[in-house]
Amino acid sequence: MTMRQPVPAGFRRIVRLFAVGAAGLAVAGCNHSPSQDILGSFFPAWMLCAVAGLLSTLGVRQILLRTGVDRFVPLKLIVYFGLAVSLTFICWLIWFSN
Amino acid sequence: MIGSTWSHAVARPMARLLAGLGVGANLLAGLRLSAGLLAAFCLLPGTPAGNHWGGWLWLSVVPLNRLYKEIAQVTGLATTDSFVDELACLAFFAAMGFGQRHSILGVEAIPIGMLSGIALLMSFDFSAALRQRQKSFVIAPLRRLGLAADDLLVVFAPLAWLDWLAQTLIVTVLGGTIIALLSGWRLWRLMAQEHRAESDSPLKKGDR
Repeated sequence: MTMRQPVPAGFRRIVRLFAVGAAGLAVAGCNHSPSQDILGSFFPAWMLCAVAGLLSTLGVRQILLRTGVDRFVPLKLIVYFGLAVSLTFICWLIWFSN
Repeated sequence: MIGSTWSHAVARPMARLLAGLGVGANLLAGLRLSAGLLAAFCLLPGTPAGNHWGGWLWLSVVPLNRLYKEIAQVTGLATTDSFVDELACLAFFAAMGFGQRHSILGVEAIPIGMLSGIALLMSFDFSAALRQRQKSFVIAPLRRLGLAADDLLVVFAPLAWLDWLAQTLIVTVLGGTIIALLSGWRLWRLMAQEHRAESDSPLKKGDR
């Protein structure tokens, strides 16, 4: 049986510092984060798009409920969730893709 | 009998044979869902090889779809549950859109894929609901040709092999949305007519 040599504490500290530094490099990808000034507060654009997508989906659902067609919609949870996500993406692509 | 289309006529003897061998509807429904989700998974990268395999898997999905319903009928498990079909169809189109993000459509392909799946499902279900009330303008012409609406799904396999998925997405999202809107509008009008006829009827609930 061979005994494992203990890893020196200094080496471990260097590895940890390197890992934290490498993770910090990935943050450079977040430099494009559009936000909107609403009444003095800056809201991230994705949040506004999500709200717009959600409200549009609620509007579509209300129309379908009022007309009585909602009961023929298949897989309601998945379909409405998919609609909300699609509309969120569309809002993002229209307003913030550039 | 569930249907009288060409695909039903082909599937029926096979269903009897498989039922005799002890193959259950649930096994085939599971296979159909797995093949559909696997086809969707193959389309995710958007590479020609992935599309090719996705097309082959999707081709296997359509007969399996018919077969499991026929076996359910033969073995006395009359099922009208289409959860498996709808989930696989939605996953297939969402994956198609994600896979086409590097095509001419760009990243817009992702929401287009999801919307085309939703539009197609809605147009199928609205047309089926319409058919129960009167002749559907989608299903009736197909029936005359001996086809069911979900037989059309087989078309997406050769389109995947030919790598025409971006064009397919555009046609599906436009066509599916128009058919869903028209069918939904006709359903609404018919239900309003039924409601009016009920309220105008001299034999109202209170008069009986």
